[in-house]
Amino acid sequence: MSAPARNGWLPAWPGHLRRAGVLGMNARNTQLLVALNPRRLYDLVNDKIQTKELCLREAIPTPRTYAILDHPAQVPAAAEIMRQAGQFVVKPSRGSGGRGVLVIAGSEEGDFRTSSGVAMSWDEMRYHLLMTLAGAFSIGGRADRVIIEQRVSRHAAFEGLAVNGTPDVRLIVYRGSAIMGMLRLPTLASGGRANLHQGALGLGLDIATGVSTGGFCRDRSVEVHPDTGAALTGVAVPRWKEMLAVSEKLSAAVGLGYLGVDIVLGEEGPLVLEANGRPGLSIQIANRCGLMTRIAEAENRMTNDETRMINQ
Amino acid sequence: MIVAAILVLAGAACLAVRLHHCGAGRPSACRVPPPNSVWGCETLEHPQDKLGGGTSELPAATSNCAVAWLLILPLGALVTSIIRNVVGVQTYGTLTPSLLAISFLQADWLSGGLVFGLVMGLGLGGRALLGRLKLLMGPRLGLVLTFVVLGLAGALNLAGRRGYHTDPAALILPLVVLTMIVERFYISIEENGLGLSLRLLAGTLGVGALCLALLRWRWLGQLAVSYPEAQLFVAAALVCVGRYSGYRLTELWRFRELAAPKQLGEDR
Repeated sequence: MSAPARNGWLPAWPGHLRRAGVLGMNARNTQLLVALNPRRLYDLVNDKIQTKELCLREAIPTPRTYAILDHPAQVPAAAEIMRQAGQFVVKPSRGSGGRGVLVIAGSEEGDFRTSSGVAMSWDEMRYHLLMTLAGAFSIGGRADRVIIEQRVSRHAAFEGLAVNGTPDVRLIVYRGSAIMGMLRLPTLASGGRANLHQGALGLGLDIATGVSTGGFCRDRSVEVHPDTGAALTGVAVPRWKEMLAVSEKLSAAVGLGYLGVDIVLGEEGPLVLEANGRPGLSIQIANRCGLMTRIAEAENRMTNDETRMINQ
Repeated sequence: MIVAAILVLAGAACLAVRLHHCGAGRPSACRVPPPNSVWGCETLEHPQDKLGGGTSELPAATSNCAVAWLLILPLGALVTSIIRNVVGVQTYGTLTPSLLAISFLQADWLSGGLVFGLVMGLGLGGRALLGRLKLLMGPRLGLVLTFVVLGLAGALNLAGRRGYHTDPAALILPLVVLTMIVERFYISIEENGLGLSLRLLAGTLGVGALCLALLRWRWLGQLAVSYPEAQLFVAAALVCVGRYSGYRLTELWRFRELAAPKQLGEDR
């Protein structure tokens, strides 16, 4: 299943990637997404408020919502909500890839401090909210809504593994079953965000146990955390089975056959952050395993289950 | 694939019928004027030439020029999709490079270069300063545009005094498209980091330049006008690219650590 990692700068032969079951962008778009993800359902995951409402209906846990802003006139009132919350997350409902997300770790005297330690005045916050409502971070620049929600702080299990931010788990759910997972760790380079583009670490996870098998950063394998030096193999994600169950439940509720689910671990258990109808392909590098391999395995399991049901 | 085959056959059939009727020597005589006068867009830089050649030709030449551009656009789309889906170069938006190339099509080299340099320089600089003012997106874009337009007006005025004249109308489109790219680049820095943003910018400009080189190719323009049926071949190629589900060239490099050179059973 896991081929020995190749070093060097030479590209691979297409045949060798195919043999490893690597899923390419074109195959994802023309085969998986077209067949499994009806376009009309994308809004459920592109709009985080809709995802949240869906989660509420299905009793899927998400971070607590403090407020939803949908008009600039509501911005002044947000100050009071933020003051009461102390620490919170501000995000655009239709952003993607962490665009426009602000994590506030504390507020003193009307000034805010982000999780990476940057000070922020109410004026700057107001500007950010107005920009977000005007659609600065939304797909296609459409007018957007703002979510102000609970900030989930780092779980004790990830102490020493993440800098300035909260790790999250990305799970790929194929036709109702979770087939691949990755733990994303914020680094100094990523500015406390679990965004792989910005230099966050991705750790491949054993899908059965939730124990990490190795890490990668910017599409290359790494052994230890670049900031803390912590080992990246053998990290066990707590409450793994619950995470699998939550992701599979959400995928069934959304109705997309190929879905990426982002989950963060709170004290109370796994909380769904958001879902993604076009999940990225880097998760394969983190797991040293191609997605097509996992998809074939899942298909086999499903056929076996069906035959067993027919036989009974 | 069947669709592609049908398109190729249809194109070939149209071509054959027309060549049969007109004779291969002057294929365009039936519907469109001879190719020599067709790709006359660049003579627009020297209007006096055209007047000398007879005013009656002017409208025809102009409309042919527009037709040539129209007919060559699908080819630009084809190049962009090949580079994105088969090679795998990432760009800001799917159509931005083609849009960039098309916008520069009517500009001559000097004024085009001027616009490019000014927008990149003043736009990037002005945008960096404007970041501190914390303006809403629309007005901010407008301000960058204002800087660039001022700079451009000054430069054109200077050039005009030295006897160089250009059609400012040709510069409007490149101006707007480039300003939009600058804005996207800036937003992208905050979201994706400088490295990826620069790569995307280079990809957009590079693919745009390639498209432009292709679109400005006189021979292609003549071909497109003389043989409109060739559009069907382009359409067939687009269908093929659209159905391509293999690896992108850049993915061979990106996923190289995953390659399984041997049969899986042979692994230790």
